[in-house]
Formats: sequence, structure tokens, C-alpha cells
Amino acid sequence: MESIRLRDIERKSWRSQQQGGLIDIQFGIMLVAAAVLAALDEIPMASWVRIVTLSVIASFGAALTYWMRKRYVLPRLGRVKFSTDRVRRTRMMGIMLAACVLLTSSLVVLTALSNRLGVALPGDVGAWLVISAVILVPVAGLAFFLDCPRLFVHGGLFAVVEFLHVVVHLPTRVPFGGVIAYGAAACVSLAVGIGVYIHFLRVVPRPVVPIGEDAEEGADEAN
Amino acid sequence: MKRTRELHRVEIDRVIHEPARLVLVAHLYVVESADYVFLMQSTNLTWGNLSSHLLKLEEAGYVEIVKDFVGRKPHTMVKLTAAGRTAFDAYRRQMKELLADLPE
Repeated sequence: MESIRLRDIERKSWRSQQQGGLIDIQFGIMLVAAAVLAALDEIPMASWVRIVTLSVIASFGAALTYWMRKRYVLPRLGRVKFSTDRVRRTRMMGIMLAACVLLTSSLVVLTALSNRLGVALPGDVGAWLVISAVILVPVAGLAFFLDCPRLFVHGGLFAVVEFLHVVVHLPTRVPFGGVIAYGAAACVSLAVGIGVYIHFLRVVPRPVVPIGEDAEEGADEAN
Repeated sequence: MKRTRELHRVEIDRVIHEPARLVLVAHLYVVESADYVFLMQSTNLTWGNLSSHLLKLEEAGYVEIVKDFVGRKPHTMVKLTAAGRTAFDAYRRQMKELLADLPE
């Protein structure tokens, strides 16, 4: 018999909002962006081109997942506003993500200033550990606050690719090594996301809604 | 006999006690508000059933149904009123009392 404990109902309701697989697809698109940037690294070009490329891919990813959610996911799941406790946890997640962005920015600045300051930065493995921590901490936070364990898979993929990049120096050993590594990770993430999405579309049908009643959120009986 | 009379003193809120409405109120209790589609998916009720139960809950003053627009399309959100939350809390206490009073 299914549990009807209030805490389980709340958690199940929250997790049901993540079942579309869209966050997995977003991770996949981020990895695609990293692969494209790795490809651009092989070609001498101005840095603004990289920035524009990254912005275009990120915007495309955001627009695509927004459209998928609005067109296919929300009509099946409906809309819900969660309690202040859940909203507070989401805000804490935002603060943690912001802290990780600050930490990453600090690392970039330190790296840029390391020669002038004469500061000995960690070696390859140390750098990898720092980068992986910066990636894995927000991913773990996201996985915790969104109740989505699949995110650990994506975080793990990031860490593996960064290991190949920073420690193994794959791009210098294999032509387009960075592209291959990020591209492979992107394929895995996108495959997971698309698989979850297709499964979701199959098992969660659009509810039948009488014509004229909340037509946005359901298939009309006429259809 | 005394135990039976004591059981009969526990008054159960029959508006909430109906199984479909109990699940409905439980889902509304743990969220701020939800629309019909979410409630249909969560409770496996049809649109007609859901509307019927929500109407009863609304008549009892336990839920508030807010009709709004998202863009130009109608959109309905349902939320428990303060009276509804109080009634559900009371119902939980009543059921605990009732079940605790049953012999082993």
C-alpha cells in the first residue's frame, strides 16, 4: 500500500516536478558548450568569439528547455506552488551556487595573478581536485535540494572529463581530445535526459480536460 | 459499553473523512496551492470527480478556488484556507485519538 505520510506526499509532489528529464538535457547542453569551446580552442580566434558562442549555446539551451517544459511537461504535471520551507531550501541552493561561482572566479583571478604574486598553486592533481570540488559541490547541492539523484551522474561526468583535461592533459596528447571528452560526456547526459523525457511523455498522459476549462493545461475533449 | 460510548464521542469530520477528499486535502496541505491538473495527477481522480469533491470542500470553507489567467487562457489554482488547515489538523488529532483508543 502506498504511503500517505505527509512528508512523503510533499517529497513525491516535489520530485514529480523534476521527472521530465529537462535538467539532464540542460546539463547535456552545457557539456556540448564545453565541447564546442574545446573545439574553438584548437583554432586561433578572438576571445569574444568564444564568449558569444558560449552565450548562444547557453541561450539556446535555456530557450529549448523552457519551450519543452511549457509545451509538453507542464500540461501533464500541472502547476503547483510549494510551501515556504521548500522555497527557503531553494533559496539556500541559490546562495550556495552563487558562492561556488565566487569561488571559481577567485580561482581564475588567483591563477592570473599567480606569476606576479609568486604564489605556488597546486599541481595538476590539486587543480583537478579544486575544479572538481567547485563543480561537484553545487551539483550535489542541486541533487539534494531538487531531490534528483541523477544529478550526481552528471556531476561525476564533469569530474571525469576535468580529470582527463587537467591531469591527463588529453587535449595535448590526442587531437581534439577536449572535444572528444566533453562530447562523449555530453552524449551521455543528453541520452539520459532524452531517455527520461521520452519515458515521461509515454507514462504521463495529458489529462482530459473539458473544453473551456484551463485549456492551457490539458488536451481538450475535442482532441 | 463504556469504551463504546467513549468511541462514539470522537467526532469525525466527514467532509475530510471521505477517502478521495482526504487524499486531496493531504496534497493541498503540503503545498501552497496547486492547479487541477496537478491534483488530478496526484490523486488519480477524473476532472468531474475532482470538481465535485472540491465543490464540497469549498462549500465547507476548507478550500479556496482562484480563477486567474495565464496569458489569455483561464487557469485555476486551489489552496487550503486557514479553516481547512485547522480542520485537517483537527482531523489528524481525532484519528489519532480514535485509533489509539481501540483495543489491541
